[in-house]
Amino acid sequence: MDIRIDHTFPRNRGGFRLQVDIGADSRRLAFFGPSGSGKTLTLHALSGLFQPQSGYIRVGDRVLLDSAKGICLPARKRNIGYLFQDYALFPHLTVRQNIAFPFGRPWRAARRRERNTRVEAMLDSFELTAVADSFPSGISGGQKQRVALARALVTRPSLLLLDEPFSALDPLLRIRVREQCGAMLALFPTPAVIITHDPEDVMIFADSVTLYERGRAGETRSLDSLTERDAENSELLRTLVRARSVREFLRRTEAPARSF
Amino acid sequence: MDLSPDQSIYFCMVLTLKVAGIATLVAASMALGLAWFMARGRFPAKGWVDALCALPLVLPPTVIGYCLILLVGRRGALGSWLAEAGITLIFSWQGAVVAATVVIFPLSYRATRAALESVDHTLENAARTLGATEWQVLCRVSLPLAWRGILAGISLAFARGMGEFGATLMIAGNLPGRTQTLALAIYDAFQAGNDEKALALVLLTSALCVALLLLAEGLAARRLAASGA
Repeated sequence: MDIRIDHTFPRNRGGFRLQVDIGADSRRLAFFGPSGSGKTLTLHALSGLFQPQSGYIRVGDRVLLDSAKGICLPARKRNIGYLFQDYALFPHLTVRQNIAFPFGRPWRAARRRERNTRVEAMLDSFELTAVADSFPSGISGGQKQRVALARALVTRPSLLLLDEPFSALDPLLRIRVREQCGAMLALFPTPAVIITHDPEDVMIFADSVTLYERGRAGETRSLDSLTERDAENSELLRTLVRARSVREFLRRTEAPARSF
Repeated sequence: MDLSPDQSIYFCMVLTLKVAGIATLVAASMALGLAWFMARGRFPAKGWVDALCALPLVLPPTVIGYCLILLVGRRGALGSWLAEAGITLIFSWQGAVVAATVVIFPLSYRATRAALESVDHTLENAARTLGATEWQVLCRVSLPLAWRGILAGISLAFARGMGEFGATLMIAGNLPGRTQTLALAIYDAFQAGNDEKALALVLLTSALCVALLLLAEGLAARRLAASGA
């Protein structure tokens, strides 16, 4: 995956400049940084919802954007799954209809059968069969997220984007949903990019991390390569290294902790 | 043409519904097209287009009528072209449709635009990432979520179209049995001192409007219950 973006907003819209140069072959990449540093904008550029002034985006062997050659695939042709921060479930459709949305209303019976099989399989693997005919307003936060995930994955996208997937949940629910979501994602081979400002998310989901600060994406590092030395140079890396040591400490003390 | 009172009232009612109905259909579809275009496009003249579309709301109906005569009258800008096509709008019920369409377009347009813009853009973006074309985004996401606001605008436009008076009078005239709508007939009856007929027409018009509003309301409630929202 290659992402190169250079975009400057006009001064009357804040004058924000986004500069990204990421080359990564990681299956689980995290964009880590404070809010307003350009993470979501990068995801929008990846999915085709935002067209930067100049840039080049390659996912796998497909070039999605090459401003030098005038290539810019529209969002609908990129085949990239997008899990929105507030899930963006269609409120007028049931859970089943939400997941079936990408297939439209096929005319041919064979197509309809294929759609139904795939939707039912998704409902089953995401444990949503019981609420399949409910509307999004009537299900829990964790279920909403599973619906959004199932809908994003049902088309078998070549890349999955997760935009702050747990920030909409309250802290108690967050831990459980995060574990569940991690387990669900492990079932699918789809490479994923996750945006977060929570170091725990990075630890659970990612194998590499790109740091974001004030519109600039720094170099991409694999989590294993992070050392105490990095922590001295950057505050963002310090929070990551600290979160890693906390996790390691918990893992070592897990057995005695469970006993009371 | 001399019609008995009952027949003439019946004629007025049918003509009024026909004129308002066609005008509403035309205005609502144009409003939807323009509102859809305006909601996504970003161009410098946007403010001007919006102001132009709101103009019929604030102009006196006589001014609208006069402008329409300048445009589609016999010696108007489009008059000769229309005459060649065999269309006469002056002193015809079709002219009343044109007048009503222009007058009610802003109501429909503003309601449609507000309703479309109130739809969460993230939902439309979600549809795009799921492979929907812009047309599918409109039909499968924006319209189902915005139809209530659009319908409110349409029923308001229809009611306003039924009551259209000034511009209609100028372009279509007040010809009993040809272009006389309920609103014109009420004025006519009142001027002629025929208070009973005027009262009957007023009651009929009010009853029609109340029935329409109830219908729109009922439709909204039923769809609401069906969608479970």
